[in-house]
Amino acid sequence: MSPTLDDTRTGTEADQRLLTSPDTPWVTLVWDDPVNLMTYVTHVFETYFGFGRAEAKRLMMRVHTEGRAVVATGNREEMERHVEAMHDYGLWATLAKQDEA
Amino acid sequence: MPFVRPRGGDEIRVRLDADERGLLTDLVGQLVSLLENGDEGDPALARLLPAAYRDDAEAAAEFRRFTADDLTRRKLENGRAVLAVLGEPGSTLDRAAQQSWLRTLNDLRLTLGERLGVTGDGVPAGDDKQLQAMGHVFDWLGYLQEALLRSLPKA
Repeated sequence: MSPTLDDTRTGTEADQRLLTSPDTPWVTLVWDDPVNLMTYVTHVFETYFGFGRAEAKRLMMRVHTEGRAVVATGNREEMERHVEAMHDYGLWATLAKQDEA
Repeated sequence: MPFVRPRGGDEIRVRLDADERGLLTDLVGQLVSLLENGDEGDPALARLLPAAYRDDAEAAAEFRRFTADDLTRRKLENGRAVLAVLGEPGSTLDRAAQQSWLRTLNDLRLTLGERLGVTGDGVPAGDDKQLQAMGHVFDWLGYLQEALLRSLPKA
């Protein structure tokens, strides 16, 4: 979220963490699952994330062969929205900090 | 062909016979009951509403607190949309109904897959007649989902 005017303080009150520890990006991971059809997972990647067919298939194959794939990167709130959407479709998805995924 | 989309159109005709409609109605009814009254510890329910964080139980519980009701409500709406079509032979699926069907067929397969202990090798073999019958139903649901995916209009 963007800071509001109220959050924008001056001087020593400013949040030091903004300078010393920039936000680590988060990722959305989709995990391999013995039930979900490969064609369905590809369909979800195409329709929800808007990937082209080739990219959607590549990511689906990565899930299938490597057990998981990163399908999105961004801030935590965005990744939580993606994970909820994946659960809506019945895909097995989680989110994690990029450096801990 | 259980699903047919007339050339150039967006809507899909459902072509299931009375037995198939009856079976699917029964299964979706069971899914609705599971979502409405299921035991929180039921592994099938856990698969329908999985943890969003793998290594952080607290964050996973918080995520569940904020999302589980909405997710469950949407899954119930999808299931009821399928039941509405099944109750009216000859009705067609518009784009919204197509998504409800895809997701409900998938939720049914997840639930049945959990009950059957489906692995990457498929449905486990066994002598139990009831499990064998459930295995056939699981395969049939996969066939339906695949057929529906193939008949979808272009996005």
